[in-house]
Amino acid sequence: MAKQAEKPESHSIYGNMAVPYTYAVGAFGSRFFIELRDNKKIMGIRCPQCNVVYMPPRSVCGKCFSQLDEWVELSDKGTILTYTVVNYKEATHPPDVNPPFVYGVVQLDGADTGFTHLISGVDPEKVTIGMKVQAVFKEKREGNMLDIEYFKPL
Amino acid sequence: MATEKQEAEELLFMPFFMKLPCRFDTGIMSKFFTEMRDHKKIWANKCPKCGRLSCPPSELCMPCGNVEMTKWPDWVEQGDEGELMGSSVVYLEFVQPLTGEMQPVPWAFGSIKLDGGASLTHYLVPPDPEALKQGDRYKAVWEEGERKGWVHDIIHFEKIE
Repeated sequence: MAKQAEKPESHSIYGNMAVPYTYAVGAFGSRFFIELRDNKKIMGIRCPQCNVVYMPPRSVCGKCFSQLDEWVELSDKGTILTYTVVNYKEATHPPDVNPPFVYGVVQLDGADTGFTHLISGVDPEKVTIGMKVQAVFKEKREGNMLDIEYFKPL
Repeated sequence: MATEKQEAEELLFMPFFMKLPCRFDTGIMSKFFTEMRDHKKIWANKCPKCGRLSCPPSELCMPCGNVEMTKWPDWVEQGDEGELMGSSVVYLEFVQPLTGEMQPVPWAFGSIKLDGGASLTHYLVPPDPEALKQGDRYKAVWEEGERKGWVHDIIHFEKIE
C-alpha cells in the first residue's frame, strides 16, 4: 500500500530555562552595600593619584590602576547627568516599578562619577539634565542597590 | 552577637534566578515528536547512500555526509523495544537547566539498539551499574498522562524479561 504523502506539521518545543546563580559582591562592594543597609551612608572611594572619587567604589583606579582604599562618605544629594524615560514593562526592570518611569545617571555631591538609578516623585516630562536630586532610602534595607528606593528632585 | 570586626568582614552574596523562555523548532524531527505524542511510535530515517538509520531522524547523515536523508513518510518504524548497547551511570549532581532544581542522583542513560535497527539514547532504570548489562532487552515506558511531543514522552527505558 502506497503511503499517502503528507506535509508534516511543524512542531515546536517550548522551554523555560532556569539559570540560578549567585553573585559574589566582593570586599569593596560588600562594604558599600553594608554601609548603605546599616547606616544609610553612600560611600565612595578616592584615587590617591588622580584624586578621582568613584561611586560606586572599586578596588582599582580605571585611569592609573592604583590600588584604592581611601573611603569617603558622599552626600545623599546629587545632580542628574543624563536620563531616559522608560515606557515599557520588562522582566529585568526592578519590581514594583511601572512605566512610564525614569532612569537617570546621578552624580552625588563629592563624587566624580555618575551611576544609574531610578528618578521618581516627579512627572517624567519635568525631569531635566542638571536637576538636583536626593536619595530616598527604603525602610527595610537588604544590602543591594535598591536600598535606595529612588532619587527625588529637591 | 556580631562584633565590629566581624561586621567589617561580612561579605555579601546575591542570589539570582534568571528564567529564559525559549522555543525550539524541531524541523525535520517534528513528525518524530508528534508520532511519539499521538501514537507512541518511534521512527528513524535512512541514508540512501550508506544505509545508516538515524534516530531521531536527521537531515544529514553523520558518517557519510549525505544531505539527502529520506523524508517522511519514507521512514522506518523502530518499535519501542531493543537491546542495550552501552550505558553510563551518573553520580555527579548538577542543576537541571529546565527546572533549576538539582538533578537527583544516581541516574543512568544508555544507547538502545531498537528492533527496527536504529540506536536511541535515553534514560535507563534502574541506575545500577551491576544491573546494566550489554545485550539486555529494554522497553520504553511511555508517559500515560499528557504527552507534549518531546523527549520526555518516554519516561525511561526499563529492563524486560
